[in-house]
Amino acid sequence: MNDAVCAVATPNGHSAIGIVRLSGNNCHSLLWKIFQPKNIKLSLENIESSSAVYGKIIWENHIIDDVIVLIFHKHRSFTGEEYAEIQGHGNPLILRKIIQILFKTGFREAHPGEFTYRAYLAGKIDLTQAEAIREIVEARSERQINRAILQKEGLLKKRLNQFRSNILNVTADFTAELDFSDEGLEFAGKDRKIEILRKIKDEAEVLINHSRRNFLFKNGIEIVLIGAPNAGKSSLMNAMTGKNRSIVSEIPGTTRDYIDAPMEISGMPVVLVDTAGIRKTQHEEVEKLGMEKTIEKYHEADLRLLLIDSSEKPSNSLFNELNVFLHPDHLHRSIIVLNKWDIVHPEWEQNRDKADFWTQFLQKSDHSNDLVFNQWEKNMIFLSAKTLFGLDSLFDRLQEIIENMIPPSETLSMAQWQMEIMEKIQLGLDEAIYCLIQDVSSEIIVENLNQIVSNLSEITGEISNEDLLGRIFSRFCIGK
Amino acid sequence: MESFKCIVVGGGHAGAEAAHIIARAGFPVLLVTMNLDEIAQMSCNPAIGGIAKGHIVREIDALGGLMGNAIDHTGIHFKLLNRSKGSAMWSPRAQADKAMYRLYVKNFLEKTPSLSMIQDTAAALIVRDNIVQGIITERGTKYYADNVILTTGTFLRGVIHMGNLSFNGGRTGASSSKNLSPFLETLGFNISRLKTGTPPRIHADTIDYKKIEVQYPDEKPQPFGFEFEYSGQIPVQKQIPCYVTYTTVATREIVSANLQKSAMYGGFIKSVGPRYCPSIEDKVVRFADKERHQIFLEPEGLDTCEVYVNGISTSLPEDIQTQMVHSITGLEKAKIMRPGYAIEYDFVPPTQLRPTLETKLIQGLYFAGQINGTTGYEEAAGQGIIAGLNVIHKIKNMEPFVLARDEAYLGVLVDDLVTKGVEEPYRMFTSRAEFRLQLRQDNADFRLMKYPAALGIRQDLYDKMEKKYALYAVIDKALENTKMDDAMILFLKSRSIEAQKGNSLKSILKRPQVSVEICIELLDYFHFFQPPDFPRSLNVTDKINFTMDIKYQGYIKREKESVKKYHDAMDKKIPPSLDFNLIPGLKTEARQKLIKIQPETVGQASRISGVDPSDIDIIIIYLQSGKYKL
Repeated sequence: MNDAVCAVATPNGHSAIGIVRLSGNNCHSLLWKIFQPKNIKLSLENIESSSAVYGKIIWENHIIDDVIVLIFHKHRSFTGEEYAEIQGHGNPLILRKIIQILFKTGFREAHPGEFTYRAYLAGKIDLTQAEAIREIVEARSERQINRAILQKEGLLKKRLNQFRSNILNVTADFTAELDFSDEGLEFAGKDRKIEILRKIKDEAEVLINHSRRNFLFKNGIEIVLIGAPNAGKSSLMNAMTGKNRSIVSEIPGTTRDYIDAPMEISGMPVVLVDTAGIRKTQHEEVEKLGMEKTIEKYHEADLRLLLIDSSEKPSNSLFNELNVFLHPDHLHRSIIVLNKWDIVHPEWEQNRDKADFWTQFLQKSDHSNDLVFNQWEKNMIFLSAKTLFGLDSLFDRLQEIIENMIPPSETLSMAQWQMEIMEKIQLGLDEAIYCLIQDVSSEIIVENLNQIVSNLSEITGEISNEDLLGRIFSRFCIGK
Repeated sequence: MESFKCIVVGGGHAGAEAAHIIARAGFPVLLVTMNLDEIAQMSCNPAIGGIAKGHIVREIDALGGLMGNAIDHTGIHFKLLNRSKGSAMWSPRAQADKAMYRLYVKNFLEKTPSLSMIQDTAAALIVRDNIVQGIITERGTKYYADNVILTTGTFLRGVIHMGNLSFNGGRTGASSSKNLSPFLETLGFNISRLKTGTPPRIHADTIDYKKIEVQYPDEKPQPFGFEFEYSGQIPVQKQIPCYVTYTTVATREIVSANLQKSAMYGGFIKSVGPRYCPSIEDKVVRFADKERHQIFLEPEGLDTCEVYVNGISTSLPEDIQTQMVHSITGLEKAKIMRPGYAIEYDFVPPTQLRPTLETKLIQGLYFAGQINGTTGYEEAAGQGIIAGLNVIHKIKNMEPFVLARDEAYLGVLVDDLVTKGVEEPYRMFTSRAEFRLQLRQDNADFRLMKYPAALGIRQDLYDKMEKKYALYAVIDKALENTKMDDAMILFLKSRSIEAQKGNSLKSILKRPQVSVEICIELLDYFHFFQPPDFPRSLNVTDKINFTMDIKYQGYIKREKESVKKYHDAMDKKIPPSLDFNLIPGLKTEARQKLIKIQPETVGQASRISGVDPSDIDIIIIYLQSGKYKL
């Protein structure tokens, strides 16, 4: 531990600035081997903590980049160790080069989360804060950063402490019954105890559920695009992201079924997923497999866009398709996009006829009742990917749906490992409730509860059994 | 002059155990006490044992102590508490005949070879270069020994309070020691003060027994001493009942109206009392909406009419105590024979001790009992025997005698004391023991008898213990090998339990929904269960013991896993020369506490309040980093 480590801190890809973080023993003098300050008289010893130095990264007489180096002294830094940041140009190739040079001077690459871990070991942050910092780094949008900052200030900790307190109260009650059964105290009956434990289990569930929703946002809301090959999926995708994305598929060696495009709607990260087209040649096994995957992907998605070429008269196969894809359970999370609205088929005199036709068609294809169709009407967007007609309506509707998916702002997010522990706690509570129902000796139930308390300590990092006794003495008049 | 290996100052429960065990190991020991008639006096309630405390008595007995035998001989009301819970929670308790108890212990000590007793008061210690050499008494006599154990109880500058009355005393009717604690301060010890209290004693013939509930003892007492458990003979002669009554609303009013006259609430006492043994004043203030509190009436002996009124410890003036007692159901005409009082006394915060109970400051000087801030006869006696065993180990050049937290309640007790210190008088609870399911009163012999046996103490009992557990192993094997047959399956079905042919009996007993009662019924019903190679017929205790053993197994396994994890991390030694100032990243509070307490292991450090897991990680990493060579 405390050996010098380095890592690129900014996300992969081109950006204005790229940052490389350095921490550990001698990291300043190691850095000085490749860093040449502009003011050549400036020596490392004279630099105060938290100051910035302008200069060049030089390797084998080549200038690699113009950079600003931030210097933090031991005990004054985030990790508690000697610490520095190199701010260079945000070119991934240059950043990679700097890292490789650093390796040669004696740095090793930091493990994921190692800087935060070191900060935790140095006592600069506690576990829940450590988790929050990781999320700041990973946060993909403003809203998430706000949430992560809230957590750093201890909101999650507050909620968990409340939860812990409730569990400790119950454990205290059960324990009092073991330690003070000869004191003539009155304790809750079996049914009441079961009720209390169930309530606590519900609390755990709320915490988990809220976090699950947040989890969704951390990974982004996934919108799957589906439709016939000629329905114009790519052009819609380009229209929505405002980019020509054909370059993506040119990455050598990547044979991807899906092409993802990250974007932001209402401040939430959104991933637009283009699927392999449906109704391709289904003779070949591979294609068939692809189809199945597409359907699976479609059903798993958070939101679905079903793309239809509105310029053509619907075929029978489209009708079948709609039966597959318009699943009643998905109605409120699916939008039908009638593309190519700019092309009017000769059969229709005007767009109104066309709209009437499609409305009627969809009504026919829908096996559910009228009420459901009313929702469909709302979720039917006429659009032209070419002229961008209807794009605003599509975004408005998406925004509306997404806003409904956003949890209230005070909602907290737990990390995956924290949720896993919470799930363990839920199981423990189930076991305790089962034991209660089965009239198992109470010291075994307390054993379960103690296990839960110690699981919870893994999240909050607090351990104390003095706590429990304090609770017993405040809740019961002990002492005959 | 006779030479001693150890001098024990104080003849209470701690002193008696310490002196006894050292003498049993064959080393000459001197017990110095202020009053030989008060050896092993029970200053407060007339009972030994109770939940967690009963466990400790069994451990003391397994370690070769005398408390178990003493109470078995002098108990007058035995009860195994928590019988409705699993066997880890069972705790023996017995009311003692106080006079008989102290006479028994005194005589027991008198008859112990190598043990000398002298009535005198220790005034100072002889110390040179921070090494203890002996004591000087108030009569000016000097006694020399390389080891001195102080077990001074509540006697150090003890002050008794009753209303606005206060006088010096170690307990009612006994003077206190004025010189010793100032002397300890000159040696550099920190001294602090604690408070405790005791209720009034009333005359048995003035109780209206028609109005109160009677509590009968167990018909067949479970002895504390393993000697009697193995022999099946219980020396109990006669048992008598106790009684239960309640305070009334009037009690509450009397106490509230006179709070200012109480020594505690009137501002006469400043020290901290225990939360779990509140005075009646505390109960009324802290649980103001509670209309009545339960009161236990406990006879102090067979040949006395004094009755201990358990539950109304008080420092109210005498006349108010009378009014208050009269407000209790059944005590309307009760006559107080000794009033209750509160007592303040000096104690030496035990973070100044090593886990051997030797002081960090003075080599060869040990503290045990209430001087370390504990309360209770059992806690005191337990420390007495730990200090005594450590002196023996030291004389014999053996490793220090330190019990682990997963090994004994006494391990928990000592570790809590020397690591966490005390903020109120310390009493043992089962919940202080993380490994409660393992630390049962029935297996204290298995856990601890090896230690005295290794010193040549009670080898005979050790052999019997080994036989007991060899038999249990036979049973365990038989339970595993016995498979369900049709009759058993049918029987279980009648109890709504599904079982299949081929299931072992053990696997059935293990199921949580199969109660202990059903387990025993199952075994009894078929009479089949007499394991081969098992010489005697199984008794109920056997059956319950191994049924619970099986039921606990899963949990104990879990406990053991965490024990192992905990040992791996916690057993790491912290060298005494380690300078916590040199470790970067420690929080200031943690650093200060670590410097003050100087924990000997990482585990000990982790239990210091204010030292949190991240500090522990830092210490571990620092120790491993090679910056510090062990």
